[in-house]
Amino acid sequence: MTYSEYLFPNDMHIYWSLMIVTYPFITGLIAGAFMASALFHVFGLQELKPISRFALLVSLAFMLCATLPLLFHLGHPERALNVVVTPHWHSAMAGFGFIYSFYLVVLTMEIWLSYWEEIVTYGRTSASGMKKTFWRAIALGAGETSDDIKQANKKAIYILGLIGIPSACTLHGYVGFIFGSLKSNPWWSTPLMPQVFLLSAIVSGLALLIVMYVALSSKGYLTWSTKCLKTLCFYLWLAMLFYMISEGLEILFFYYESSDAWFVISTLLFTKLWVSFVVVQIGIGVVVPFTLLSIMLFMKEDQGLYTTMAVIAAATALFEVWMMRWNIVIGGQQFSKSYVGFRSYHPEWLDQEGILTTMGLSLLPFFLLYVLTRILPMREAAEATEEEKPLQSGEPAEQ
Amino acid sequence: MRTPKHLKRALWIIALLFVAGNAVRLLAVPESFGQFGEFRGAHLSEERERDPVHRGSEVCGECHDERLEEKNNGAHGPIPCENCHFQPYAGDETHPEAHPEISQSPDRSQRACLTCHQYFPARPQAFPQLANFPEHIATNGPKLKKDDVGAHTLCVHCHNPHDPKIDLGQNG
Amino acid sequence: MVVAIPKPGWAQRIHDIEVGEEIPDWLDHYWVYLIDTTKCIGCGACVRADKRENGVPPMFFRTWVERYQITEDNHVHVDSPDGGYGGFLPEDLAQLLTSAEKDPAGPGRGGGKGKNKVTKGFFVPKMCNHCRNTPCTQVCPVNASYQSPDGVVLVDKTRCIGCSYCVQACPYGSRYIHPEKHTADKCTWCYHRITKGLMPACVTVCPTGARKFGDLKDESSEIKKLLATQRLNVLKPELNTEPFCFYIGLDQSVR
Repeated sequence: MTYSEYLFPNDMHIYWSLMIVTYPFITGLIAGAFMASALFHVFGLQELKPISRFALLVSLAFMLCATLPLLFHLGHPERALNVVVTPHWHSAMAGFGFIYSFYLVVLTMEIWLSYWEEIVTYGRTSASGMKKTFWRAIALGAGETSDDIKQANKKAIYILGLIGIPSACTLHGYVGFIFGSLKSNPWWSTPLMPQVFLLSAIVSGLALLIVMYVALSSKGYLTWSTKCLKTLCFYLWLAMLFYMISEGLEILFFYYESSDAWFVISTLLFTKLWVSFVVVQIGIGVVVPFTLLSIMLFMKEDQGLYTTMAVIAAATALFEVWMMRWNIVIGGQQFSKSYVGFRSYHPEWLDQEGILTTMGLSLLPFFLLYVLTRILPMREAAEATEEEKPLQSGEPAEQ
Repeated sequence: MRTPKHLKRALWIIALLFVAGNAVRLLAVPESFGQFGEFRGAHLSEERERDPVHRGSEVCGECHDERLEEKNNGAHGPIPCENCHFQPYAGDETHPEAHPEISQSPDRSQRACLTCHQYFPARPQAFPQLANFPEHIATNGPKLKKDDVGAHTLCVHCHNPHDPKIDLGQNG
Repeated sequence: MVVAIPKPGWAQRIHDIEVGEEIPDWLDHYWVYLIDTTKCIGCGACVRADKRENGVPPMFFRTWVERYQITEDNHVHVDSPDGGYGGFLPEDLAQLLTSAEKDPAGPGRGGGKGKNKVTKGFFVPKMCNHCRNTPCTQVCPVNASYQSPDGVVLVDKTRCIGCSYCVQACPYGSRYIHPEKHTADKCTWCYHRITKGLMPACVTVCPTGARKFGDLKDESSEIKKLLATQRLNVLKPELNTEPFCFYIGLDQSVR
């Protein structure tokens, strides 16, 4: 039985737009950057010390912007707080308010404790009275340090990191659940969706850190260490491997089970998504970085070539993750619920959920990161054995 | 080891925020929420209180009782007056108070009748439908002693919309 | 030429809803809908009535009618021009009024010759199925969409935030986001009518009785007898949404 093309009359519009592509991308970076920091703080990977605190700042900068794409998308953003006032516990989306707040507290505390030495010092030695008051308030009026306090802080950071890993995973994983649990949409409906989202989140976080690490250390803002770069690249490779396996399995199962929706999925893959998914996401976004990273496993990290390859691999991987969000969110809406009709998405430039808004929201976290690094230094914490003295590395506190 | 002061203070602040946040949250929950289930109970009454738009043929019969009886006894009996007499986007001064949309001058074009009575393969066979319009006119026009009929002829030229069936007698 | 002589007090009676009894308590009802596709003629009166009754915006539909035409070569032509709002007549009637061919505008053009002849055709009215195992209310993050105790799935427009999650979750395409109100919207089985003893607008205007509505708690209702004796089907039963709009004569080709 063959069908003429037919879309349900209410299926003419694509409701989840660029904003819903941007939102998981941002939360993915939040989770990924936090994982990189947790590899140091929780799993003790000393090689990652140079980016250990910077990764937390990256996570926070994106965290502060995470609600914006959602607010731009909602039909009634002024009622957004309804999700916390009358949440529906069966809905994954209702978890957002609570998960977000919880993780924000965990992240802020971890940053606060990681920078404790600097906070105490600034509270004592800042130039103006206003700055002193500011830093003393940040220290909650208990701005002192000692070996005991450093030990306590270290333990607290460890615990926060431990709590933070599942929180960050949930903050991004629930988005995967939102898509994966919808039986109405065959392109989304799979139990593998939360894993696919989370793994690509880790890929994006590590990739962003690699690119920024190389750029910022070349200017002297971060401590350069080829071992740090190599470790980041190794974990990026590992994350990409698991991501490829998950996504590949997903499509293999769709094909093998050949359920009634396979017609629409296969048509989608060979027509509407041929360029954006097969050529761009897989061809450029997966094959290129994974090949480079695999070669790099056998290379010595102290070569210029290694660094160049790392940047190319990271940049393409980051781009791939964005395309993956697009192909899933927009791709899944490019067919009608009739399974025999297709439609296209044409984002507007000046729309509330349009291209310019997306660009602005994508640049905003970097601006916030810049502001954060003016307040707190990017560099890793000084060695515990050093005496207390005003730190000279990184940016001095300026308000 | 003793918990340092700053950690204790931080935990107190978090606990305070948690309690205060939940208090505000609970205050914001609407009054009738949870009355009949996990939704705002007052909404059921609000939804119920809306006025219906379609009032049914009996209301028209208040004034147009003879016409209503004629329709009810004919083949178009099951069809409410509003189906044909509702003009969705135009007003009509003859019914200003009750229903400005209702018109005594409905659409009399062939489209109005053919919307139901045009032959489509998808229509149930038992339903009266017209496949060959020219033949219908050519055959029945003379029988009803109507001259000057053709493709431009309106259905209402021969058929009374309130009692549409025409009995042509033995030679029909 | 008819001259209507109004009876005294007509204006007042028109404004009151004459139900002959008190407004029934909605906890005493359990509503159900039945569609007989063997009777639907695709006139679109239901779509028009629904738009009027509920102020449905253009290009969106709380109910719509689909036409299925299956040709000799086992190809299914499905269409729903503007949801069936104007019926299924073509824009230009001239061809129909002057042609002796049986279905000049259809896929069986050529007067039923060749492999494009339509061997089977029918109309399928659709709307929100008011499922018992709703995927849409399950995903609403703010409890704005819910199922009433009498079985109707409703949307509280004062609490809906317009996230479109329910629209994505509905497998039947019944929901949409209202372009002006920016909230989710869909068929409510004319809740404001059924709770006053009236039928939904679409059922009231259906000329052939293809659409039927009733109360399962009413032992004498016609619909209860039909549901117990007729061969029934629902849309997409494999998804286990347990729709409460039942169909008689639903073909396997219906999407």
